[in-house]
Amino acid sequence: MTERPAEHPEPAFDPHLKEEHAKYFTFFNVAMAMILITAVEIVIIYIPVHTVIVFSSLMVLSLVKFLAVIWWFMHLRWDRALCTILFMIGLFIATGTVTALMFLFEQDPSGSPL
Amino acid sequence: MTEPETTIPENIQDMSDHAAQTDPLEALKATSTGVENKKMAMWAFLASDCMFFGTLISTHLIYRKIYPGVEDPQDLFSIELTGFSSFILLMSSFLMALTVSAAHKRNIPGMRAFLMGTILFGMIFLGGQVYEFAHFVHDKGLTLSSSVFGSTFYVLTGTHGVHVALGVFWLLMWFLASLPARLGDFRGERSLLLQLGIFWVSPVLVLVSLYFVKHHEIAYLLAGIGWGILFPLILLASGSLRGRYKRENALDVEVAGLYWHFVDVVWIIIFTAVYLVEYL
Repeated sequence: MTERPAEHPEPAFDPHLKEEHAKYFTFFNVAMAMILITAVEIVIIYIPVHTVIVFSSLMVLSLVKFLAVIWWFMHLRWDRALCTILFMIGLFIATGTVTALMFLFEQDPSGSPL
Repeated sequence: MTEPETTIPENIQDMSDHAAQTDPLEALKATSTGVENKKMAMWAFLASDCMFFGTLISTHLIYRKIYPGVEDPQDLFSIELTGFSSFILLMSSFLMALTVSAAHKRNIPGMRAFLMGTILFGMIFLGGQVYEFAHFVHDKGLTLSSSVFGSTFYVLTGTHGVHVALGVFWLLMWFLASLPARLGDFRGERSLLLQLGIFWVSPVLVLVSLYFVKHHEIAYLLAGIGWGILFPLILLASGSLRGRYKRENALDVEVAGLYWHFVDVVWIIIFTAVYLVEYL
């Protein structure tokens, strides 16, 4: 019978726990940053600058929030790359579909049927 | 014909046995990909859900492009309410991240507290959406069939709302599973009684307050009374579920958390693409 290694840590001294404690501060910082970004998004739509600038800013800010949630809150930062690849496949297909469809259609001059 | 016998080196066998004996959560990682099967399945589902929401979002945006000026969303939308909803959902996502972290730390009371917060925030978000829809239908006359805008808007935001509702239900299952099996054991945990008290009373207080603030709208009072009666019944009826949470279920909580964060991520896109862009 093989003996258990004596140095194996008990759950209370698990280095994994130390990592989890460190994550708490990361999550808190990310959450605060996202609240700030949301506030900026709401304010920015009332700023009288060119629409293209505001639109681009909104896209960038929402992208930052999106990436922050999937990278930190959804643990992609700490998980295997396979999870990221799997999710990105779906995300790229979805983004490609939305983009392609937006370019395919033009305004209907006859107006809305409803 | 007999299959060739595969021999596993003794030290590797010992290591895997040891991991399984010490932490059942680590044992679940013993797959060919190194990722737990449940987590892998959830990521695959979320990838497919991206495409699902991609079609709904593009449908809404295309109809806004083809038929501009059908509705004036600035007249419809309340950016204060939507901003508040976004804040609530972001905070619920933060609490969910803390829930998963507490589950991994084997901190069951902490996990329960954060999980309860996540569920409460999810319910507030749903309440906000119900209020918004009721306001649009009764005050603004926007229904599913009144205009193209109404159709695409309700289908998109309604589908997201259904996702949130399913998430709340799923998290509630794990909250109940993490409670002590016998009702008599509740007395031993004072923090638990406090948590359950907050969980029970705070929605009732909010809804009754809204009843007085919002010109005695009877729906708020009924919802408050409904929750006041429903919650103790849920607790009593969950006897077979209570006490079922085990160490390895931390993975299930994590998987539920992935789903919850995804719902938040979708709202981040909807908030910008459907609401904010209309103000430009």
